[in-house]
Amino acid sequence: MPKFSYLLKLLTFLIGLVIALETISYLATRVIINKAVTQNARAELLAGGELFSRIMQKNAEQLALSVKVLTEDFGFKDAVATNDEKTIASALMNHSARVKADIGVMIGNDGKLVASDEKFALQLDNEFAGLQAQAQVRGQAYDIIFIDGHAYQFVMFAVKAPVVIGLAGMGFEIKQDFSAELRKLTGLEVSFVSHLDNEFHYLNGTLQDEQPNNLIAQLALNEKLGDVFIYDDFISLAVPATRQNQQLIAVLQVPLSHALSHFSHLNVQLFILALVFSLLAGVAALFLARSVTRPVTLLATIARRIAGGFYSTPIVVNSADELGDLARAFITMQKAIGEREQQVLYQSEHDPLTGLPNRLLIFPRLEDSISRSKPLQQSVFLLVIDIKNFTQINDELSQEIGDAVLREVGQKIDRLLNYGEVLRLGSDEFLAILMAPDKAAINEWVELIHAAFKTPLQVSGIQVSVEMNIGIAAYPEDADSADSLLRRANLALNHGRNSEQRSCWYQSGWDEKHLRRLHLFREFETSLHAGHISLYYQPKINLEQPDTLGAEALVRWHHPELGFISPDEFIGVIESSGQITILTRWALKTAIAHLRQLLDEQIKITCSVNLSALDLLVDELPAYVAELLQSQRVPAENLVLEITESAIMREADKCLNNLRRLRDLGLTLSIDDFGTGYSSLSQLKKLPVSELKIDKSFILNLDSSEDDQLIVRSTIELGHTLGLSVTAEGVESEAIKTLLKHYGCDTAQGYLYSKPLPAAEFIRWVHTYLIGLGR
Amino acid sequence: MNAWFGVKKYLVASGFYVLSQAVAAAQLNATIVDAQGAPLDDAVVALIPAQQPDYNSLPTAIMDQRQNMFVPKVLAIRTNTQVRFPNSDDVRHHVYSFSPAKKFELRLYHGMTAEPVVFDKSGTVVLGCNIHDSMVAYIYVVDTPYFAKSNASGQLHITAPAGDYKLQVYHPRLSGDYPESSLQLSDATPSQQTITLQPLSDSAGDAPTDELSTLF
Repeated sequence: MPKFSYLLKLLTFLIGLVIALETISYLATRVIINKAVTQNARAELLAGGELFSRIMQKNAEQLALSVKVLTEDFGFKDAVATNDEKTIASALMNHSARVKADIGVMIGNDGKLVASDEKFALQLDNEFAGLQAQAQVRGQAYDIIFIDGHAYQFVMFAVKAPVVIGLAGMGFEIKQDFSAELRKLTGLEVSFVSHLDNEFHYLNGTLQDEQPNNLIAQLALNEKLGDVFIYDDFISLAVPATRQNQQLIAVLQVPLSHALSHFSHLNVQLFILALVFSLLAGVAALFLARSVTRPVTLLATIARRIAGGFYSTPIVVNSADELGDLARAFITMQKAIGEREQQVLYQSEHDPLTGLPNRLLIFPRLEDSISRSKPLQQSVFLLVIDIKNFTQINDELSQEIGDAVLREVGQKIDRLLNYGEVLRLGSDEFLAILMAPDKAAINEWVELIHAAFKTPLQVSGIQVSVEMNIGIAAYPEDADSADSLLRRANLALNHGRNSEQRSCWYQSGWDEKHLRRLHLFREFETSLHAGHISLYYQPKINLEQPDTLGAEALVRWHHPELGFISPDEFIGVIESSGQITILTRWALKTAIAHLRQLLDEQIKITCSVNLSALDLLVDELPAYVAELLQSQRVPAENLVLEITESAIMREADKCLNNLRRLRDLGLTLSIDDFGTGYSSLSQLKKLPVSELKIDKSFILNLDSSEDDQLIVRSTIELGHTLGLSVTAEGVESEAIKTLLKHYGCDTAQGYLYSKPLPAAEFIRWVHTYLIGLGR
Repeated sequence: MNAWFGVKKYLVASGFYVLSQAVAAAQLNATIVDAQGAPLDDAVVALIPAQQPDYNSLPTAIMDQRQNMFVPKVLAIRTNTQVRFPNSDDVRHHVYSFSPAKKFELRLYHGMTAEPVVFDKSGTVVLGCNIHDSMVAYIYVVDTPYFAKSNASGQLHITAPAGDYKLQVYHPRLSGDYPESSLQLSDATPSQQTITLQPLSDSAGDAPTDELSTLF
């Protein structure tokens, strides 16, 4: 489907474009979002860091306040001044518990340390040196200290009474709870990392599983504090937990996925947007494609319509664009083609010479008339009109005059016909299709035509006499279809021509006969090759010398479906079709082969084979016969060729020439069916024949018809006068034989001796006959 | 760090009382300076005679409290001196001392209601007020009637009978002990001494600010 492929292309292109654009926009948005997210996260982290340092400070302040309260307590001062360790320790515990500090310590001026937790005190080494020094000088100190892998926020105050009599301090341990708390407050992952002796150590935090290790590795790799860095899935900020101490690092982190999660719905929206745009693009493509394909489809339809030969169907074109132009061009083309085709059609359907419709229109017009005739209750009459002497006119005058005659005749017939239609069938034949309720009107009109041509035509200043032959057939009386009507009208014409009638109506049966002839003509060669055609032999007996034998080869056709087909019927058919020469050659070949067989059986016999008029026109025949005789080693005198009188009438010279050549081969020629034709005696005299066969129509009733007796007797005498032997055909009784013998007839042939027999039977008959003769 | 507590005390029993004006035999004129040579006031110099006189009298000294300050800031007294702590302010004070030389406490009082305190041991007594942290005063209890406090120009004069003495120096800012030295006073000429005190703490006696913000 070309439309589909165009749509598909457009669709692919547009959707591809949208997807490309959306992808670019999506990626750009992604980049911007990532940037924004990172910035947001950075801001969040920094804010978190700020919050974190405030919380740390708050803790320290709280702690400081608490320590201050402790150091200013008079009782505590008293205890310190009096070096009452137990009281000091309990006071430390009490105050530490009050503010939930993890440890409290008191260092006397003499360096002695008292702690709230003795175990804790045991682990202390010199962690307080820095704090102590600072507190000595400033009265107070704050720092992060590391004890046994734990980090503490520590505040130390001088105990004054009123001069410094010792230092008291308290510490918050930075614990898991603290980071968890911080996470709750900031929403960030919080980790505490110690950075001692250039080594990072993860103290505690909210990271899980392997994450602490990764963080340590990352910190070792990237030691920048106070800056945001990104690794794995984390946006991270590492800051010193306090200003005072860089050894405790707080790491605040936002998981990227978490930061991006706010934007994930944006991604979904972008995706949906992309889908919607793709869909819109699809619709647009569909619309665009349709806006193109619809006119194209229309044009294709128009083109197909034109191809189908419809030129008059109007095409509605609304669009004013290029496609509209194309459509209009199509319409113009359609009109032009239509007009030209009309012209061509007219020319093809009309005879240029007479301007009459030609044979192409015969069937359409006939069928049209037939279909109209029924409702009108009329009959359709088809007249085939032939110029009887046209060939003569053409030959004797000139082709130009012939053409002029045709034009005149056509126009004259057309003028004479005030209803119906005249067509030119071909060469000198015209057709007239008429509708009338009965034959009478037609007969009138036929007579009108004959009358019209009584006066010669004036053509190129000369007068030309023409005569018409007219064959007529009627529908539905004579035929039930257009083609049978035409065929039957033609048959009527032929019949009329052959029987010298000016006008001839079709008689029922003619067509069937004609069709049978056609059938036989088609079947002939097949039958010949299939062996359905065979040669029968009828003996010819010499009346003076009964042992002088002859036989006439007769063609018999036993068709498996049509049965026995009379030679009278099919010989005529194959003569008119020209197939007779094939039959003759076959007959000669077969007969000579049989002769060879008879000769081989020591039977002296002559065999007659019939030749057709057409055979005599074939110059190769004598050579063929000679070759056959030679190849079968059959003496020429054993072969007799019979020809009919009428055969020699046409192209007599050529026939005579071929006959002489046959006779020169040494074989005998015989005139067949003598008495039925129109042969003249002068011609007979010229013929190189040696035998004359009297047609059986004169013989059959010889014993009863005096006329026949007279004719036969005269013919025999005539034959003998001309030096020919005479054979009588159709001898069926002893009486006739006796008569013939009496008349001096040389040879007799007929049922008296035998009917025609197949070769094998005939040979048996010969044996029987010869035995009967006493040989 | 035990600048205030580590002072060695020479508590010599004194069997007599001499009016310095009456028995003017020899004189020490001393100038007290710091390491930079600047004069120091409130420095106390005591001359401990080899023969401790007996003290039968009970002299009285005053340590007043005015405008939330002890006045004077430094008081030098002979052992067995009775010190009164009148309160001239309209607020009450809670004077105390945790010094080993004299531990006492005068609970909140007004005016002259407080009982006098007798300082019977030599040594440094640091006074404070439990209510007002900024109030600090020093009482130097010495085992001799021959002592003096430097004035603003760092000068002091002690008149004592000619003889051999141990010289002791006290000052609130003096961290560590001032080394004792021997001094022979003669009638002929007054002894001229310049005593350099070092090391000195930065602002001894001035209480550090209590602002927590300085922590962070």
